[in-house]
Amino acid sequence: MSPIRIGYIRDFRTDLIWFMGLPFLAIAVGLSCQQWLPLTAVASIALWITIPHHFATWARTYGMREDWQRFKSRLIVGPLVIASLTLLGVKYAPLSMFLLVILWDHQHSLMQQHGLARIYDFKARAGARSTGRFDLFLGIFLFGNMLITAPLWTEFWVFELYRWNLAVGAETVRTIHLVSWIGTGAYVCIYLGHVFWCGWQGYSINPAKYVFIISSYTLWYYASWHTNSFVVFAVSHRIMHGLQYILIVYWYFERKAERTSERPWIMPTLSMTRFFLLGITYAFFYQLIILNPLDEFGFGISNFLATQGEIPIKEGTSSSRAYDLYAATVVNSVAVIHYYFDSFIWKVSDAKTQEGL
Amino acid sequence: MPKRKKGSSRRGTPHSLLGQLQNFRFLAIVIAAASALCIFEANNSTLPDETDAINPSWVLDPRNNFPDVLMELYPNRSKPRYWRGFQAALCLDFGYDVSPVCEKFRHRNMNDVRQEFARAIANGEKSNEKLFYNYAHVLLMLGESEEKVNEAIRAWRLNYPHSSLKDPRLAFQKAHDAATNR
Repeated sequence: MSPIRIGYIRDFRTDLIWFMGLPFLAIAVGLSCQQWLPLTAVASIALWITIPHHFATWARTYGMREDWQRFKSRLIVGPLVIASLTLLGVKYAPLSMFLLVILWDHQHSLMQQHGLARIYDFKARAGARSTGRFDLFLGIFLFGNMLITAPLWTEFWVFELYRWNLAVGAETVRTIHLVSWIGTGAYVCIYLGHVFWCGWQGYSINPAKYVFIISSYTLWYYASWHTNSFVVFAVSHRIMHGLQYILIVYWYFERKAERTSERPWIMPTLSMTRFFLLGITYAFFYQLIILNPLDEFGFGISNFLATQGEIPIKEGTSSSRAYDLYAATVVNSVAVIHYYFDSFIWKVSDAKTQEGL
Repeated sequence: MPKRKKGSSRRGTPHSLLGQLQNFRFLAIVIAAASALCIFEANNSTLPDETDAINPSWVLDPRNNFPDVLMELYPNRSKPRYWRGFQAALCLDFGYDVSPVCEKFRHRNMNDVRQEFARAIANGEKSNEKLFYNYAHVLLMLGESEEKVNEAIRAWRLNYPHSSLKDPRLAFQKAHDAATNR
């Protein structure tokens, strides 16, 4: 039996565009935003992609009868607990809340790419029983190393250490970088050993999975190393993460409909265009609820026009502490609930989930 | 030994109370870790109250300070340049010149602060509102032409159209009036 067995999430062409090619396109969009657009572009990408990808989670969890019945207690209790604790966190421990959301966001991003990599092996029936664990640690080491050593993230965590009264010197930072690189290099060697061992033992290997992993990490590493601003990372990461998520949820609906004839109640007739439009509509109302201006949909073009010619003196837009607390609570709660739901609805080893893959 | 029923485990069936509690294990772990951090923060009076507050010791501590560490690691990046400028501004204009860290700015002036900020902006930094805002403010302090000041304010407004900060021209005027009245 050949040790190479290729399997795709969808098919060769679709995967080439959305899973292997998209990260490179996303980098190009990120660099373009950095070069030609104001910072508002980051908010616009969030409204066009990130917020609709939250909607995809709600459409699945609250829209599919099967998921609702299976996860009912977590879908009811989870948001109530998370929203209440987020309110307390934002009010009484803002630094901790900030760290929690950032760290969970990173863990969530890493786990999404790990989950998609697992789907590749599932589709190709590739890998040994232990490969999932090896893949997970590969993700932890590669993503962790990026957060520890990339200049963009080093600037971030060194500042956080100062904020928490843990002042470090440049030599300490260099040592931490070195340890991280050595650890990651050692683990990559162990991982390659595992791949060879799989081939040796007669387990199949799916090259498509590795192309997918390499393209995802190319985006993250490139955006973290070669830019001076968070714009490239934020834009390109959100495009890759959000679009891949929206697609995988939609395809999940399609497969479930084929196999069990169940559809989300919000979309009795499945249509990709309708799914995207519903997501954008959700983003529109989300923006209204957090009382943010709708011109953020426009990539800063309206502001570009407004700042030409004379610059009138303006008082700052006043925002009360109550509003700041409210907006921060809603924004953080929605994000954290999404991270939480994703931690249990996408187990590739779960037979019910497999029906939709 | 009796066989365990399919779908059940030592931890209880999915629908038992124990099974239901098991479902929340991951959330409980996250909440426990976050609560420990929150309690530490809430009981530590030396930590800032807000996420955008700056403690001067991070910038001026002679043993380890943020700008010096970043400048040593990445001298050509935007963030270290901004913080170097910020450090210089504290030493030159805000009465922190007694700090030994300020020794290196003894023969420098606000023009050097402007150059650091300008370099950070030219490097492509967009995600630091204070950089754009403080740059405009420094130009006003240096008495730069209206055209240059407007250009800086335009860049700030373009990137932060809904900022809650007061126009730098108003803030500068207010600070100037206060200094004159003193």
